[in-house]
Amino acid sequence: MIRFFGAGLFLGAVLVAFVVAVLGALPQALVPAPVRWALFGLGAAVVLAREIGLVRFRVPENARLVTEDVQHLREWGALQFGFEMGTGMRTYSPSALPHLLLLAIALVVPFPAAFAVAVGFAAGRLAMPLESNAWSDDGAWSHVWARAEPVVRPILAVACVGALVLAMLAA
Amino acid sequence: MTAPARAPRWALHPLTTALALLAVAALAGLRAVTAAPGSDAAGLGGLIAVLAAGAAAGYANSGST
Repeated sequence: MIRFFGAGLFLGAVLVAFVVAVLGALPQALVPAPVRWALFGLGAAVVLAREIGLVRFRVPENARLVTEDVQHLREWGALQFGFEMGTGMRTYSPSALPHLLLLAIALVVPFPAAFAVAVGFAAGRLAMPLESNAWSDDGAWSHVWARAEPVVRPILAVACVGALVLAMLAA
Repeated sequence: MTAPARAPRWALHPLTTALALLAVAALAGLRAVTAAPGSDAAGLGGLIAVLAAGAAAGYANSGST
């Protein structure tokens, strides 16, 4: 079942990356690079501050839980669930990092690299249920995550922002 | 019958994953910046760096499940 969920994640993430990269072709062609970089830098600073806990604000999210119907569709349901999670368009968003990825794809990431961003996003999204399942069957993972979250979120934010900045400096 | 082997707990811990992603992001990003512009090394480093950026965002967006 997890394979269908994973496949759905990759499909959803790649679809969103493709759409945003196509839309982003316009600003990338028309807006001068320093302006695009400044906008991305501003967004990155704000997101980094949020993830570290310096500022608090809600990010756009379609706060829905998976429907009962999807759970009864077995493999197809897992694929659909994964797809919805991969797009990020029908789920809660506890982090602003996916929004920063979309901004990066629209403004500074070259078209082919957008797909690498999407594949990475899906892999990262898939990692947590895999780790949760491997940790134990008693739901203890939620407590582990809750304890680690205040430290882990800033590290992930620094990794994400730092990697994007370094990669774009080299491009 | 023996129980199936589980991965060591530390390897599954969220902090391990986050630190691993940070290490990959830093190494790949620095490689991309320090390699000769336009070289294969710079391209590969940049590609791995954006992969790591995506993975960090995906992991952070997972919440607890």
